[in-house]
Amino acid sequence: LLVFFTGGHTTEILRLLSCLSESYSPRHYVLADSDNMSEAKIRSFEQKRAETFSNSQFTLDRIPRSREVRQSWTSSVVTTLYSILYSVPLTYRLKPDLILCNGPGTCVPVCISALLLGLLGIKRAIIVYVESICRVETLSLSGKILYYFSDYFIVQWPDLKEKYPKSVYLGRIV
Amino acid sequence: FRFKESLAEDLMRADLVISHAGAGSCLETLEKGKPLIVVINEKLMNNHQLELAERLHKGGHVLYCNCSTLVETLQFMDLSKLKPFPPGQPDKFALFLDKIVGFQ
Repeated sequence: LLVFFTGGHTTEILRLLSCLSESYSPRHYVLADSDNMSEAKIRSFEQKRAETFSNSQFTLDRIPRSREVRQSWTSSVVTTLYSILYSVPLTYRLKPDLILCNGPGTCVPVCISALLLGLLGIKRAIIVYVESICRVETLSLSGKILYYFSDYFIVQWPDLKEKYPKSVYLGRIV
Repeated sequence: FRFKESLAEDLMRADLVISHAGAGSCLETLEKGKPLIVVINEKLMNNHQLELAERLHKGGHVLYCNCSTLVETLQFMDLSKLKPFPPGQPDKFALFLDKIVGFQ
């Protein structure tokens, strides 16, 4: 059972998924409620996949966006808390084995929910965070937070690997 | 045109692409091996767009300018000096995941 997060970098994450075997099934996509373009891209990706793999399964859920671009700090805290409240039941329902995310703020509340479920002994998910290829020298805000909370933190440029030694650099993957 | 589903067809027919610094635009263009000039709009400056554009420029993969220097860039450009930027390999990522999840 997997959970993926999309938002501004949907194309990137879909590329990352393109070579995954059918063992990574069913796939649960989680989007921000304000995101319209991602849904179309995901459906198109899954449709193509269904042409090759007959038993392909996926679901799509939406959660409130934790933070809009350039939103102020104080209101961000409130909206993030609201997103966390929303994502706890979602994460509990999905009980993912593996969580894959690549940056949008939507992933932070769900990862926090997953950590909570792990702490409570309900379900321990492996959290894999892939920082976007746009990030060459600095991490995104989600990255800075999840660097400490993810199980595997993947960066796409060697400069970041140097700055963040706990990260994983696999070379160019998108 | 407004929002086309995919610019892939147009990209294939182009000899030169002039684009903003969005990651998707840059990568898609470079993958198809088309020469690319990236135009930075300082007023709309988006931090993460700039990092990637600068790195691509440093690596000699794209030409780089702002709105006011675009004409000059077009006049003096030497596209033959641009180095290819091959696509990434998502199978490396798949292999990595297989390892950590335990699917061998």
